Amino acid sequence: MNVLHYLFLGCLLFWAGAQVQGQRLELSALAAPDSLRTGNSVVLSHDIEYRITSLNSATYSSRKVISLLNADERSGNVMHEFYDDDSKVTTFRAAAYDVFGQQTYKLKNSDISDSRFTSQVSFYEDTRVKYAEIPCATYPCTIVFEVERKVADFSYVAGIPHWQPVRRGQSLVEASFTAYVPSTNELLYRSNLLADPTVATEGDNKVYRWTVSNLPAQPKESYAPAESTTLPYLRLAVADFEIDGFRGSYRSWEDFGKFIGDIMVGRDALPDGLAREVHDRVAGATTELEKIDRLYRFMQERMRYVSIQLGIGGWQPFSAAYVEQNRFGDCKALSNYMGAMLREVGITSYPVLIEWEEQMDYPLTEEFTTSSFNHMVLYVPSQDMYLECTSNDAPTGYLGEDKQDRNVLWITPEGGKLARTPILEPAANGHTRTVDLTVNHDGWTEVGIQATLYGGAQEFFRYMVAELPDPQDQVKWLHEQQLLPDVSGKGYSFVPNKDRPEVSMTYTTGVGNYVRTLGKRLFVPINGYFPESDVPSSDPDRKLPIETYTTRFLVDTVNLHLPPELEFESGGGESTTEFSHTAGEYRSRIVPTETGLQWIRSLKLLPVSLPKEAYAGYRQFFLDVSKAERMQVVVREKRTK
Amino acid sequence: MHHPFTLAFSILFLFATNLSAQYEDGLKFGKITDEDRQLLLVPGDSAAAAYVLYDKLDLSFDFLPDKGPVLKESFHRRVKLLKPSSFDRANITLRYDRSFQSLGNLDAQVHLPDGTTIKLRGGDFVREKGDDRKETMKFTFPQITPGAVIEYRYTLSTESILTPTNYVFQEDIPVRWAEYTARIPKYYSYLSLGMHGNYHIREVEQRPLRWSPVALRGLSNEQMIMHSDMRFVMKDIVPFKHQPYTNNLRDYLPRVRLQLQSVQYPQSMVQPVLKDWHAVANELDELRNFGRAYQVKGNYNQLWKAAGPTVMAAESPRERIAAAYYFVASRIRWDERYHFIGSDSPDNIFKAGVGNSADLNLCLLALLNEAGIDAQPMLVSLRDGGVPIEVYPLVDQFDHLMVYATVGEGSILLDANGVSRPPGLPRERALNHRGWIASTQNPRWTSVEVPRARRVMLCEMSVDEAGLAEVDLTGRLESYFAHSGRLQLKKMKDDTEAPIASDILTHFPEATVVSKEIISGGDHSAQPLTYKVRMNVAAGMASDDYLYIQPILLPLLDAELDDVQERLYPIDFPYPWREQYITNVTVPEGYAVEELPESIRLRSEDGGMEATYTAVAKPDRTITINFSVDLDRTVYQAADYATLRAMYRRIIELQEASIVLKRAK
Repeated sequence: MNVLHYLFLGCLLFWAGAQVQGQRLELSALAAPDSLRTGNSVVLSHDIEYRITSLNSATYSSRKVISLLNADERSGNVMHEFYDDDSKVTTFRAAAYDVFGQQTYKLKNSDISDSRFTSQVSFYEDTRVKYAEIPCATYPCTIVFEVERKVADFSYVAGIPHWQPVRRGQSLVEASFTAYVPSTNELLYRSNLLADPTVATEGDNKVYRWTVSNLPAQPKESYAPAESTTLPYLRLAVADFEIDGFRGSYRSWEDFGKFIGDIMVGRDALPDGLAREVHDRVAGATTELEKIDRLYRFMQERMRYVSIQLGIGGWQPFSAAYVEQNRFGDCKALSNYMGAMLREVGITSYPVLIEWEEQMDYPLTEEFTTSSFNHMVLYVPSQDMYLECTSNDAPTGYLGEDKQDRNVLWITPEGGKLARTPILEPAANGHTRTVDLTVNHDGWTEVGIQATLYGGAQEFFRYMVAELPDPQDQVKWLHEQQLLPDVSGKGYSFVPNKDRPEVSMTYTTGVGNYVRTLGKRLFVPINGYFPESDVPSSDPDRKLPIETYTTRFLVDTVNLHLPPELEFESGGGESTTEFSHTAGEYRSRIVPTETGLQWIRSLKLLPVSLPKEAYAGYRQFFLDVSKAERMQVVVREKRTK
Repeated sequence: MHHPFTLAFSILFLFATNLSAQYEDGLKFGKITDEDRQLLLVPGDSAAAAYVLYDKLDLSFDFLPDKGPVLKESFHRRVKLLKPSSFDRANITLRYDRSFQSLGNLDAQVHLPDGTTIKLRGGDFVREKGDDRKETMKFTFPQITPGAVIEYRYTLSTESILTPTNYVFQEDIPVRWAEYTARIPKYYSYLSLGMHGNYHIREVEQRPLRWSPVALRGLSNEQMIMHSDMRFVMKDIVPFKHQPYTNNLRDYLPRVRLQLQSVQYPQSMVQPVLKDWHAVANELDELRNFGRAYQVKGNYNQLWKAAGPTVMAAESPRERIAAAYYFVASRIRWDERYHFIGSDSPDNIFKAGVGNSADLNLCLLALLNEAGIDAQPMLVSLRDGGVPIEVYPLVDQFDHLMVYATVGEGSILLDANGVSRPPGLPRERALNHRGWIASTQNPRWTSVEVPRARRVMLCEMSVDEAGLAEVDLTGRLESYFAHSGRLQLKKMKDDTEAPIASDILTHFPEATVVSKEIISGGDHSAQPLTYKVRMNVAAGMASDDYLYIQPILLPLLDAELDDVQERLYPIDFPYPWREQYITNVTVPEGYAVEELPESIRLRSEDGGMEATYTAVAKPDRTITINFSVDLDRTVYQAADYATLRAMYRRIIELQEASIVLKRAK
């Protein structure tokens, strides 16, 4: 750097200093210490006030100042607030500032879009959204967002704010959350990585205040636990609330479940015609299980899933009569409908609130009652059986892997009861597959594939068969996913078992590109079509623990047949490969046969919860698997002796 | 006197066909035969999930005193739902722009196999107001079961008669009957931009009919005027198929696409709507958010004030172009909307820091214009936006505006959006082969030509007896390959996500990155990106006395051209490219070459694609492989598919070929 550069830099710093002094330093990225100007953005401050004003109303106000350090924080300049008939956005303001704290933009009404919002999974919703993008001409760019919402009834109870002051990839300078709660009510909370609140009394209110400051950015990493468990997080509930005249409480799971039960009362009355049909359907059934099966099939045949979120939003189902009349409903409506039919034939069932995600946003515990659900299913206690009522093709009693092994809320006549869905067993979630490879001397290979997929491994394929009824379309899709060698084979079938979570497939074809030829040699991959080769990326500086959920047991057999004029040059002898880790077990064995070899491999994959230090070992297991799966043998023309 | 309806294709004649199908005399809404209720299979397509029994669009005209001529488009659709996978088709969403369109006469009902029919009532229809001017009408049908037939109709009124709705006869499910009818008063002359198809009925005839609006034009009473009556019907249409590497699919489907060409009311002169490209260029030139945006200094004064010193500090025209380009690309963010007309003045866009695709390039035009560079707007349709129509001056075919700048004898295309893409490389979606230069002096079409993307890899590989290789790989990337390499460098979190290294790790997951280094061009998008990486790769497999080595560590082609049994549409790549991989493999001591891949040269018949592979063993324990693939031509007809696929397969075989070494005794 030459002298002129230093002079220029010095002038710039001087000028910048002058600018900042003349501007608002707190609105500049320069307000953050160097140690926090990491990641893509820094939350300079985020202050929330939440005032509960009655049993069914509250006011939420937020002021957030965030510095976007670069354009990669893509949603950092976006503000959106949802509202509906029960809520109103009373403040919606934003402004942008440059690095010197000079205002470069102020949000105008004409820049705000205000439209009905329908989420991807819904067809109708009575939600609206105010939305704006705040332009940043240069970076760093600091944006101040100010929002106030007045909420009542369903919007109040379902929309109780849970505070996560910072996300992964962001640093934080300071933030606070202040809750004003009438002394007649009680604020319930659980927090992660937050100090206890200060509690004071102001008039008729108790005032709770949490603060947090100086947090460097936590990286975004694969296989990481939910953000609510690794970042500061506050989960809130209120002891007592009311929606449309229904009184409820979050004091216990029992109380909250009772409230949900109350708003469902009377919704399960069956129309007379349907009641008769229900009895006709179960006539002659000799066991309760058979009755359940018949009615579940009956519902699958006549219903379709349509998500319509109207009325008491996500919680109160449409009545069984409405569902019967229209033959459609969302998860609540269909679960309620199914439960009503079971009740008609004397079988008790409970609606079940559940979070349907592989990774739960907020894992539920017995100690703290909160609504972290996005779905409803049905539970039949006498059979210890869950029924997924939105599926038209699931076997009776199949819940689905992303709903298993988690706490859920049964809505029993006595109130709510926290229960755990069945764990995922490897043997029930995987496949058995046999591939026959018959290689000619010129490399042409006849391929025969037979497989049966189970449990979680079959879910998507069952869905695929239902969505793509044309077998040609299925073959094309499977080939595009690299699950079939080509599209020109024969003997294709992909058949879901109606009664069990199993899908069976067959396919045969002839291909010229499986084996690579080189002069008199043929290079033959053993498991060329279906290698288990996914490897977690290298991360020597791992910061977060490892958490995975996959459970599989995968058994593959390959029978390689060679013509008499070919012999093995390398590979092909008897051998065994084995290794294991907390994440799984791998075993493969090669056995010579009269015409070639047989390779049998079993791979067990298990969910893990490991500290960050275990990452290298975790990755190494999958590296070893990948390497073993890519094994090939070399064959050549037999040599005369 | 008859004013014949103008059609581009040979359909001016009346075709009287033998009418035989059940819908030939029209279909009454709500009336359905028992056979159609009971139908559970599509004839000839037992796998079909749904079946369009009837679909019709009828176009007519009205004239409103306060609004002038109005398009009345009446839609009537009846669909049989056969399998649960089709039941989502019972959820209907109709979209329109409420600022000039209205939706009325909406009726919907479902016919069930048990003989009942359920009509939807007022509360079943939900109108959703979107942002701006967009509105949707949503409804869903009750009691859907396999065999249910949904039926609905509505009329869309549009206060612009320029471009009626394109009607496409073929769908993704089989269609029994698809019909397009139009009754167009002689005052309005339409151009047909596509009426190809194997029509069952294809009629165009002139007939005198009453049309009252003439009274509003100063005539005393209603009178009979000539109308063009059109009827186009296709029946028993198989579903279309999506095929990979297809561009502008809609152009290959049978459809009716009309465009207003001129208007002539009684006792009036012809008012041309479609004039010629000169006239279009002149009109655009006068628009505030087009020509005036970059030619009237009042619209870009602040922008020039900010950028001018930088731009004018550059000496040569090329440097000025680059300076202006990078100024816009770095200071104004694209809002991810395409348009061929700006949304505001360059000064306001600059102030907001965000704009649509035309806004950014109009800002650039303003700077170039002020800097004395000869630059013009170039309008293009995007890939999948339709094959450019050059014969007729149709503006609404365009989706995007770029800049065509002349430098000396040459030219350069500019398409600002972020600094990682240099001048001369438009975004890939804009590479739809042809573009129109909106020059008032010389409006013209020209090819959208871009520099060939190139990647040259030089690899030094030293392999030990166990097959582990120390690899020293230097890559030189140009054009789009350099652009994607730089984006990758910007996004990468660690060395394993670096260019070249990540590609090798995909195929050799246990490989490790020793070091990486950007030699040049890492922070300047106008330069080739030269990049070096050192890795340890298990490139060989040792077995007994043999060592098998894979010398090509990076695939030149990622995958075979996707396998389809019958190619229906042309194959269309966005840009030409060349890949070259040169490697020197040093083999371990004590090993000798047992077998090398054969040297070969492959060339497609037309020379559009070529590959060469040579393998030479040298006395100093090294083997040199030189492998290159060139794709010169970017568009191949469907008939060329088999040849092209065979080339792809052969090239993939070559890139996976091994060297066989044997331990010397």
